[in-house]
Amino acid sequence: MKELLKRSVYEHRASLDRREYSSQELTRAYLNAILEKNEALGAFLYVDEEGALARSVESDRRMRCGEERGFLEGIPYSLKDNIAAQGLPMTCASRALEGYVSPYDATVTERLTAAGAVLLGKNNMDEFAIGSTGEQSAYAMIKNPHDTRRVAGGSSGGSAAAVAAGLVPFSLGTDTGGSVRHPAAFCGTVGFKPTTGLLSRHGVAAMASSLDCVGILSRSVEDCRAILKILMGKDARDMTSFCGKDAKEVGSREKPRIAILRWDEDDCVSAAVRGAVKQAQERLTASGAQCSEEVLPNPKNILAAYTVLSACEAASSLSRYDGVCFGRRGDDTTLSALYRTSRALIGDGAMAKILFGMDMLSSEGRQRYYLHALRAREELCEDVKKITEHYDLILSPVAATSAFEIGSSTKKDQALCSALCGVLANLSGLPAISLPMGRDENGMPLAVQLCAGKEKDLYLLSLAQRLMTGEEY
Amino acid sequence: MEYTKQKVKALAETAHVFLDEERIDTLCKLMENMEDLAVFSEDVVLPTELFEDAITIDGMREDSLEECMKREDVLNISPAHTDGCITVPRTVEEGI
Repeated sequence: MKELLKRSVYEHRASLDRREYSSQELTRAYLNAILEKNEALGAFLYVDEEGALARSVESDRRMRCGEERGFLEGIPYSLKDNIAAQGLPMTCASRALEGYVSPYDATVTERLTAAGAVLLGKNNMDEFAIGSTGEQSAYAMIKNPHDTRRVAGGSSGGSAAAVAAGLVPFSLGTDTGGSVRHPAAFCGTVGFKPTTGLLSRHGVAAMASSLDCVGILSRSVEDCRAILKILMGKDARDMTSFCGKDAKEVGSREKPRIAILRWDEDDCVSAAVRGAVKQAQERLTASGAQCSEEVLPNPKNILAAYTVLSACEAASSLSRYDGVCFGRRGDDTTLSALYRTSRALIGDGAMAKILFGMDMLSSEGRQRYYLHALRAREELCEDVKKITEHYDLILSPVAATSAFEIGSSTKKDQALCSALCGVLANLSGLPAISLPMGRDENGMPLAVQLCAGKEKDLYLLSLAQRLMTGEEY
Repeated sequence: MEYTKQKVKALAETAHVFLDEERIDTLCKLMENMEDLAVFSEDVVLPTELFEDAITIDGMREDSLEECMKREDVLNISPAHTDGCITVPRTVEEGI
């Protein structure tokens, strides 16, 4: 029998149905695993042992009494620490929010609770979701469960490490420029970024508002799909959200057309990652899909647009941490002193992004950068629309390499390539998923990315599931 | 734009951030890295009649914040996408 903590949501659900174990026993098992492994991994910032056990007991009671149960009844999960859960700390891994306790649930938290899921705690992350390695938390570095000398990826590194290490069967993260998909790839889990607006962001700390999405990290595509169905849909408290019924379940062609994405200078992708993409392509072709190469125009502009827009929006979003409305309030008596005390608590990565964004919004920066970035984004959306009109899916790497050693970082061209693979879906609003695809010579997970047209989230997940199982189209 | 110590310091002052010398050096490097990525090819053509008004860099409405300072309950607001509004950079014409 598969090890208890490595089982998927569907497997736990079946076992809970058969009364092989109770939700309380399952919750206790995950809590013990967190206690044992978290110090080495830095995956959790806060564990709500008491609350989790109370929720699991209540869940067991509902199941015993035959009350109507949600799909996730009794199943534990975790949240990235920028997603609100009532009564629990929410720091965004920053000292600037140390001690803050959320007075309400984010909509996604609310929907998981309504489905019966049991929240175990909050996952570590790069501070304010700015970072791609998991090394930028103000509290602890996040390490890769497959090799603790290596990074877990970021910014949802804690969520990915927790799922991969069997500390939780699924987790919610956020994805602004690949922040769910990169750590999922490095840790060997499934990582899904939905169409922008499909999941409510009410109660999610803003980093770059036109790019931020809530995403799902899970052990299987099947789990991801079930969780998406619970979470998706219009939320009156988030005017950017839309009705999930629009998420198209079925694609237009019997034999899907797949674009294998290429671009200038993509030769920096490691041989192992290329092998993973090749393997995915072969599986897709063997299943009846039609694959052909498609060149992505102007990759430099895409990266530049993301760099500028994410910084400008982050400068706007993070300016609220002033110690007045948000952020730690000191004993200062003047506004200026209060700003200084409060903002001094923001780490280097986030501060650099804020200052850079401010500069991009100055009159000179706006002319030279910000307006160009807006235009480049428009052009990208037009290019991507053309590709997704012709193809059902886009296949690409998620990152140029597998997880690298902490502190080493990758070569510059590889870092750029990884960033490009991540930001494309955020700038254009497309759904995208990172899928595990073998291991490299060091035993580290490899992954590929599939993207689909806007609102074709469920279709993307159904094709991704077929890719993973080898089922024919 | 070159991120000299002086420039970073000035930006930090605008944002009411106090930085020591060592931190300024670190931020200069990080911002230069970002600038390296922010290079557009020349074929990006700008639309002509975009924003006319000036941009407020810090954008804070200090009078209302002074008022907020007197209240304790405002700390109960979550620093989140509270109403889902897209808080794109605040320019005058966007109403802030």
